[in-house]
Amino acid sequence: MIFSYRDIQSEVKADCEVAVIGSGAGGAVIAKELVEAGHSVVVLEEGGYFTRKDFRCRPVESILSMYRDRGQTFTLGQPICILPLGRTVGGTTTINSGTCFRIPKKVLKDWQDNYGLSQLTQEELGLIYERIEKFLYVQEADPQVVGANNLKFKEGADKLGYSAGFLHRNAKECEGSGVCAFGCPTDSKQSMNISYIPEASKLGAAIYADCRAEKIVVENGMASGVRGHFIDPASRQKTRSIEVGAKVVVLAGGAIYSPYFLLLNKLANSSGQVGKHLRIHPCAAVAALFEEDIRCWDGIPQSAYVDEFFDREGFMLEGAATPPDVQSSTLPYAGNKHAELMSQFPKIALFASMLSETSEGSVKALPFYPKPLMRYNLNQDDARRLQLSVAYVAEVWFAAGAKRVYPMLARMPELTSPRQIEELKRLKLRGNDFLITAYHPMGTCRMGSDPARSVVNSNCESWDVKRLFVCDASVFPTSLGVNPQMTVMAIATRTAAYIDGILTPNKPDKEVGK
Amino acid sequence: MKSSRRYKVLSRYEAGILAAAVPDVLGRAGTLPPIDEQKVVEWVDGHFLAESPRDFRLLYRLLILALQFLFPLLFGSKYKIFLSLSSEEKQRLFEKWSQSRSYLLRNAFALFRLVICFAYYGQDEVARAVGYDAGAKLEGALKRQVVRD
Repeated sequence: MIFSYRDIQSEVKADCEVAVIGSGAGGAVIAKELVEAGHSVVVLEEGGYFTRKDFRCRPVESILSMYRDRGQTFTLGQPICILPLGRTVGGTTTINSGTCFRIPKKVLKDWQDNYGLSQLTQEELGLIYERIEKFLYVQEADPQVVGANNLKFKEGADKLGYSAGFLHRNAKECEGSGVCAFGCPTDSKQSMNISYIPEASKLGAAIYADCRAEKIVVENGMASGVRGHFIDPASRQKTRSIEVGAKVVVLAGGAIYSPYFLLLNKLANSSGQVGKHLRIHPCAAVAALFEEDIRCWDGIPQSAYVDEFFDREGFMLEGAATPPDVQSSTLPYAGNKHAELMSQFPKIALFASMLSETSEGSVKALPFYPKPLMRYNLNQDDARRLQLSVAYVAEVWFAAGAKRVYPMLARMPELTSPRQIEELKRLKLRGNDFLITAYHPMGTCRMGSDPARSVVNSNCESWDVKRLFVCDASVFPTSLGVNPQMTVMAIATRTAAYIDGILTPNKPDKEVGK
Repeated sequence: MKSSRRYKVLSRYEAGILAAAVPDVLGRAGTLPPIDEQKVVEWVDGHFLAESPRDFRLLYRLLILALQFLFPLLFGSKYKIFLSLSSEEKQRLFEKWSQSRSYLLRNAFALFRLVICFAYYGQDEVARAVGYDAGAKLEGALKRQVVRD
């Protein structure tokens, strides 16, 4: 059953086998897999429970209700990067674009060779991905509903001979409502709030929304439960307490809040690696003005891609359109010039580049600051590659017939001719010159085979605290380079099988992909 | 710009500065509906800031005060407080602020404008004027859902 704040009339005390903190791509999968295997599961989710009735195609409304800090989560450094995070049942999957990738082979090989993760094999992960993809109806976006924004970009990429295609997405009978990042109003997108979580609930898991975990209880070096409070969604004040006794605790709060939680609890950090190695996939958006209407809000916002540069330069180009209330704040200029651009909004298209970076940041817990502090600086090589990616997006837009291109750079706010692309490439840009948004925090509780260099082992279990697992993108040792939700789910599925083995040691072996 | 309204977060003075900034941050263009600055300020105060984290509220209020006293000095030709600037002078200030060489100041402008854009372009009639009809989109989505269910 899924309980919201209004369902809770008294303090809650519960015992279960598995307590899960967080209901995103990691926590939801763990919950469903383990309850399906016959274990009792309790999930604590800090955000509220929203369904399609709450999704009204009004982006700002969704940002205010389902995004952490009302969408104003950011990293400090050079540049300052906006890092939107979901705080709702389903986690960020409820407000993401639904893009699905498997782990790139070269990334897995790097993890195997350099982080001792030889147990993560292509074969095993392949079976797991297949199973998840089937459950979530993962399929290629239908060109009929991708919308002109994505079709135009692909047309430009095709003209230039760049490798491009339509993205795979976890969407069933999607008709391109165009508001994936603000809650799918048709339940097409199979985010955790309508897939794994309801299934876990149906099988008997107790899901507590509006419930903030605060402490992991540890006894004799083993995790034995979670304590927290329910949060009044109106005032954000703590109300009734919750105490869950468990044989296993899984922390799945994402790559910002999982390390923050461990640091606050002073847990699992003998390696000193908790909160380090923050990667975020920095993204730079490039807008374009066309003669004809594009209506970028119609169709699937993120449905086409260009992967021409992924192997060589480490960046992907992906669709990124949003409705006017959100997009207005990303376009250049102020005053009448900005209004002039906005008055032509139907003719504006938007695409973005996403960098697999080598820069690293950190997540810290400060004594008198009630939130995690994220630091992140873009290094010079990443800035160079991001600049190159912006130039390629501009090139594709011009090839597609754009009249003007807006690369969101203070030093070059507008290009009126493709000839200026060379000029753009020659600029000596630094991290500070970009307007960066990032969507995929990773790496802050990295897994590995060496307890001195990692936080968890290849089964996502803490080296320091037995039966404490971390299961979200924080365990990735490096940038993934592609949208991470499928890989988080795959690792969670694998971890769930391992936990099942601990809890029922005499159970006959089951192939994890089945 | 003085108002007898009570605000949840902003003081009346801060609300007055914000109201004076709104038309020139957003600008004017033919097809866009007229700006109701009071409506924008009330939304920023009551819907956004009132429920934002404390550090964000503080930062936004500091930006408003900096706009009144500091930014005319940084981005103007001769010093006047913001409320005494003409509309053209305010527009020039915002243009310079948005293209400042300092990335901190550019980011501060982006943040300042973002909330105002949310408040204005988030209004149904404004979104409709630039082509986005949330009501029609939702109705279409609901019809498709009924057929599917």
